[in-house]
This record gives sequence, structure tokens and C-alpha cells, in this order.
Amino acid sequence: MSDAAKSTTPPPALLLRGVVVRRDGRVTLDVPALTVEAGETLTLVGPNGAGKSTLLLVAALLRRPDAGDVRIAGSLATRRTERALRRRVALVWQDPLLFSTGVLANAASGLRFRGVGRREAERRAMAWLERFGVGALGERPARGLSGGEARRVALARAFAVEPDLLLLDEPFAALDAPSRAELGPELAAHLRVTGTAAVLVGHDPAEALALGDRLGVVLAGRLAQIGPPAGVLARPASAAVARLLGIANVLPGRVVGTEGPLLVVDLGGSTVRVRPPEPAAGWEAGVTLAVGAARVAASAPERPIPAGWNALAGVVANRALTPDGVRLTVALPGGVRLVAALADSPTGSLTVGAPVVAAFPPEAAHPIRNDAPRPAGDGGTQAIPRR
Amino acid sequence: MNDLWDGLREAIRLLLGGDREVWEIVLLSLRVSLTATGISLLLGVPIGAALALVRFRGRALVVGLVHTGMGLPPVSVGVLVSLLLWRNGPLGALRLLYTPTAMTIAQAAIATPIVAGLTLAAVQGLDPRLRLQLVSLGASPAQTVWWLLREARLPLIAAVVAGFGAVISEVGAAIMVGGNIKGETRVLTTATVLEVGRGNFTTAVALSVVLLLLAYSVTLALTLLQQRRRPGS
Repeated sequence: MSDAAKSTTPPPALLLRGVVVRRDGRVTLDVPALTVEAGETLTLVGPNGAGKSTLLLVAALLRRPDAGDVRIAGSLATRRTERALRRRVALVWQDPLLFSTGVLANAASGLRFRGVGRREAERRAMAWLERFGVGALGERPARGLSGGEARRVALARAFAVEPDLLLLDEPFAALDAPSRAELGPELAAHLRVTGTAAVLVGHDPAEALALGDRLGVVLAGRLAQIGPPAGVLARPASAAVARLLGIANVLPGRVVGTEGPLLVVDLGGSTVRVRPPEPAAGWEAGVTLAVGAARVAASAPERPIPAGWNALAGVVANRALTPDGVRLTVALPGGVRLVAALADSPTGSLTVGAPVVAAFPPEAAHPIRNDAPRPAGDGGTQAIPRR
Repeated sequence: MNDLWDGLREAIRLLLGGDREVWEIVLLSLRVSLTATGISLLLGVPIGAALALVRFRGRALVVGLVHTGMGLPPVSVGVLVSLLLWRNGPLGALRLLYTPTAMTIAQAAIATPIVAGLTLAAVQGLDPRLRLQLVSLGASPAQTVWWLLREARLPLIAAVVAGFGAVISEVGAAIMVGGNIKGETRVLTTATVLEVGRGNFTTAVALSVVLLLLAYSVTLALTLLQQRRRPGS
């Protein structure tokens, strides 16, 4: 970065370098590098116990890593600086963890800790309570609120301190679906308007895909992949990432040849052609295909299939209604199952046991090398190799 | 049963009749026990909070000591304080033995482990993430402890009640370091023991009733403080 660029670009809100956390001698978090730019929202998904919450505690300066550096808004956290830097970060837990005072006193607490006078602190806290639609609760005891109200108060309390970095640990957990659908976009709007950088941890990939500028996948204490959500979804770096993101079809296969730019892959009974993100030559035999259910079509055998598509004949093994249509599970020869999400409910011919042809274009299937997760080519997604 | 009825009537007569000696005894009991409870709060709350929040080597041993101290026999405390304050003892020069101050010291020693032990339990009973939440909101260590104590205020008031109850009712230490000197160190418990020894059962019952009323009034006041509705309770 040139000096000129330095003077105009704000420092990253969060920067981790070589961070390692051990618990009982076991490495629970190993992040060689992670940057969250000012104003950016990074969502992290991963299974329970993968280290997402530990990463948040490290970023909140509540857990000192066993190795590595943490920088908040460009400043290195040390024993001497961590308390001052903590005041530039706000953390919202899965539980609202409100104090047993009034709602307004809760929302104002962070400002009071910073030495802001009561009147001024309450004025600023009230503005945030109102922005989150809970201004009318000001004098109510905080412990008597509903789950959704408490969550909003906890968010107002965090925003009131005007942090450089907001850390959110499953902020929508235990909320009913309508509250989630409401609060998610509200939160995103407040982050955007205030230009606050955020790290949002969740285990629901759909939520993560809806909210973040970038998406990180945490597996076994490591950042398995990070990049723009669309890129990560289209080109998962490993079978585990693909499964975690909820990609319905993660199919083990074997490369048996090439046809121009396409790979010919044997799925154990069926052969398909797929377009790899890099030249088709040089692929090892072992490969996993990730195919989104929405990219798979399914129709009765007599219906035409677009030219160049993979057409796989099988029978309907399961049929489930969803809010968006119907999900068909197609059993292929060799025990392979392919899930197709169909927008409109097809005619009654595709009932369980009926013959069916599942089809998808070569570019709908993303091949993943089985040998090692490695950079998945273009699109800015980046797989971080295991050390 | 006659002694009991007579005692009740006598208690009412003593209190309403404004018996000067009885009122002096009541006021001294109250003064000594409330002061001792106050001192036990000043010492016990920080000790309990520190034991709940700070991890250090040998912590379990100290917690064990505090828990043992919660059941400390007042007589043993009386012996120890007597030895310290005895004319030839290490603090003998202060000439405190057989004064209300000596009784206050002994009672504070009895109440402090109780308050410390119950404070420890109260703070440890809080959600451990509350502390992290306070720290992450930017609270200094002092602000963190103050807010945690506020969160634990209901069990903390219970700790005060327990500490006061232990000292207002104890007799072993009061009689040993106070000496039950009429007009100087005579309190309700020691006076009751004296009257029983003299065979004045009616007066003893009357003093016991007064003691119970006193203990009840103070405890009731603390309970009302604890149970009153306030924002956030």
C-alpha cells in the first residue's frame, strides 16, 4: 500500500495475524490471517464447536490468544492497550444478557462506563432504542421483556457506544421466523448507515448468505474458506464446506477423462460432464461434485432435455413440499441420490416410484479436488490451506 | 406456662412503660450488632467478591476457611478476642476488653465469614457471561464488580440478614469480651442469661421477647428493602 493510499484508507476494523488459541493443549483456533475492513460485514458460519465463538472472544479482546496479534482499527492489542481498545468494540451475545435495571439504563450502560454523563448517555441510548423500535420500553424492567424486545435492547446497547467493530454471536438465535426476517434487514441497514464493521457468527447458512459482504467458513478451528458469499457458494473449497453451506448434492466421483474444457466424471453408475474452474487437464481421479438443488431439473422421461445437459435417468425416491415448490430426491443407478428443487409443482406424474430424468448443465456442477482444498481459482474466493 | 404469660405481659410493660434500663440494653444491643454487621459488610463483601471473581493458587483452601468460618462458634471467637485484648495480650494497651468496642470486634469476626461466604455464593451464582458482557461494554474492573454486586443484590441482602441474625442472637462472645457489666456492656442476650441464672424467669422471658421483636423488626426492614418492587427486579 502506498503512503498516499494509507492516508485515505481507514485501517481495517479487525486484523488477526497468526492467532492460535489452545484449550487443554488442543488447538481450538488457528487463524493465520483475517482482515475485516472498516465498514465491512463478515459472516462466519461453521458447525457448533468449530471455534467461531472463540474467534469472537479473541476479536473482542476478552480472550488473549496463545500466539499471534490482534489489531483493532489499526492498533495492536497488548495488556496495556486492551482496555482502551475494548471500548472501540461491542459484542452482542446469543443471549441478550441484559442487566436487571430498566431498559434505558441497560442501553446507556456502555456510555456510562465510558464516563458519559447520565443525561447525555440516556439521550444517546434512547435514540438507539427508538431506531430499533423499542423506545417505548424505556422505563420498563429489562428482565421482563420478550425475546425479540430483549434482543433489540441488546443491539441498541451495542450500537449506542458507536463501536468501530460490532461482534454478533448468533444474534437471531431463538427468535421466531418472522422476528428473524424483520431484524436481519434492520440490522444490516443500521450497519450500513453507521458504517460500522461487523463480524456476525451464525450456523444458519441462509442467514449468513443474506447478510454479509463476505462469508467465512470455520471448520475445526480454521478458516476453511472466505470470500464473497456468491463465490463461496458457487465454488466451495471442500466437500465439508459444500455440505455446511447446505448445498444439497455433494457427490463423490472419479475423473475418467476430458472432453475439451469439460471433465468426464463417473458417479458410480452414471457419467456426467462438468466444467472445472481451471483447465480440465491435470485433475486427479478423486473428485467431489457440488450441485445446488435449484440447478437440477427433473422431468418425466418423454420430456426434452436441453442440448449439452447431463441427463440422468432414475426413479423418484422422495417428494417433499417446500414453501418455494417441491424437492424431489431422484435415485440413480449405483445408489447415488440427486436432489432437485423445482419452482412449480410438476404434474402428478412425478410421484414416488415414478421414472424420472434429472438434468443439469455442466457449469452447474462445481468439482472439488479430494486430495487437498486449494485456491479455487477466480472470483476472489480464497481457500486457506491447512498448515 | 405462667412464666411465659407473665413474661409477655412484662415485656410489653417494660417497653411501653419506658423502663430506662431495658431501653439502654436494647439500644446497646442494636448499636453493637448493627455496627458489627456494617463492619462485616465492609470486609466480607470484598472478600467474597474477590474469591468469586479471582482465580489464584490456594483459592479452594481460602474458600474452605471462609465456609468453616460461617459456622464459627461464638465462644471460640470470644476466647480469641479475649486473648488479643487481654491486659497483657498483644492489643492489651488499647484497654478495650469489657467495652462495647470489644463486643463489636468479636461480633464482626463472627459475621464477616458469613457475609463473605454468602457474597461468594451470590456472585458465583450469576451468569458468568454477565461479567464478560460488562467487560465487553467497556467496564473497568471496579465498574464490573460494582455492577455484578448490583446484579446479585437480592442474595446480598440475604447475606446481611444472616450476618445480623447471627450477631444479635449470640451470647458466648458478648459475655466473654463484654463482661455483662450493668449500664456498660449489658445487652439483651447477656441480660437474659443473667436473669435465668438468678431464677427470674419472668424477666428472662420478657427480655427474650424483646430480643425477638428487635431481631424481627430489623430483619423485616431488610426484607422489605429486598422485596420492594423497583425497576428491573
